[in-house]
Amino acid sequence: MGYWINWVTLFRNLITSVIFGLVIPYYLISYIDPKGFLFDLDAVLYNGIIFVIVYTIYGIFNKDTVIRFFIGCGWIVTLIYFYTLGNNFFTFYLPHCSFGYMCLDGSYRGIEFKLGYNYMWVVIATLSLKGLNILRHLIKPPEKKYKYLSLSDKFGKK
Amino acid sequence: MSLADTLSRAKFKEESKGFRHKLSVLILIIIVIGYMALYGYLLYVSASSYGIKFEMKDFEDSQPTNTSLGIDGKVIVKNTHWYSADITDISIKMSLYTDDDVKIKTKTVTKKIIPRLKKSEIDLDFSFDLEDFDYDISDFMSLNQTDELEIKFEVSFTYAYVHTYDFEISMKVELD
Repeated sequence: MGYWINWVTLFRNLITSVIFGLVIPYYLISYIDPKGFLFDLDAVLYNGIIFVIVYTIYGIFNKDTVIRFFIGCGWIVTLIYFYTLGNNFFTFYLPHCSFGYMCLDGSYRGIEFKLGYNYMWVVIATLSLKGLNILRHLIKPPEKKYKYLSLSDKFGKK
Repeated sequence: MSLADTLSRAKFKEESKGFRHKLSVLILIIIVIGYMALYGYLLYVSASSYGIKFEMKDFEDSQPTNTSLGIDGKVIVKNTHWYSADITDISIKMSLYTDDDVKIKTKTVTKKIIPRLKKSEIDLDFSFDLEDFDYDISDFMSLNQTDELEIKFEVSFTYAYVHTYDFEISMKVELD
């Protein structure tokens, strides 16, 4: 079991995802948009919990396992889900109507309005670069300098 | 042997180590250049859109009569700063609806391009004359029976060839 788990990246990802997925949006949205005019706090927190679970799982495994590659592929799928629904850290907590399409609606002084912004090409480019990075980690020969990240080796020796 | 054991033991051949190292360095270079190009272009687009100015000119609504209802005006787009980008595929659509959400009439003004370094004008002439209606009896009955008109503006355009924006405003006018 010690070979599989990297406790440092597990806790690093858990703390990072709780901060950016739950704590910051809760206080930020409660302060700047308490009436929910632009942001949907319930949806943001729901997606925040998904972010915490998935990103923590992503951090569990050691860097030289094939499973980590599959989890990286799963992370790409999760990002596609996040960029489709919006309301999360990766979409500035703003709602989306479809993949890479930000949409807002509301009314101002009785005048109804809708705003849309399509940035799909940015998302596709970002996901492609992330995919390349996951592939790079898979084929890259493991180096000794990464040993300092793996406390599980030290625990395993004891 | 379980799947977990199989995957944990899955390793590349030792002879391929040098090739894999070179390939991973090449991919790293592509990733770095890719991120630099992506964020560089996004920064350029953000900075260039900041300098665009819109002016509304000569806007007036014609007094509605038994046979006509209209809005005339011009939108002047100043896309003149030296680091500006082209605005393309501009579409301004105006639709009239009755209070039963029956679409009576739609007019669309389009412009292919507002080039960078240029000041462009878009003429809006949203007049709805009696002749515009095709004398469909259902349209006529809807218009005759409605207590309010809904006017919907839909605007869409593409900036720097890759970012697409659209917005929609709905206004309701009560009829006496």
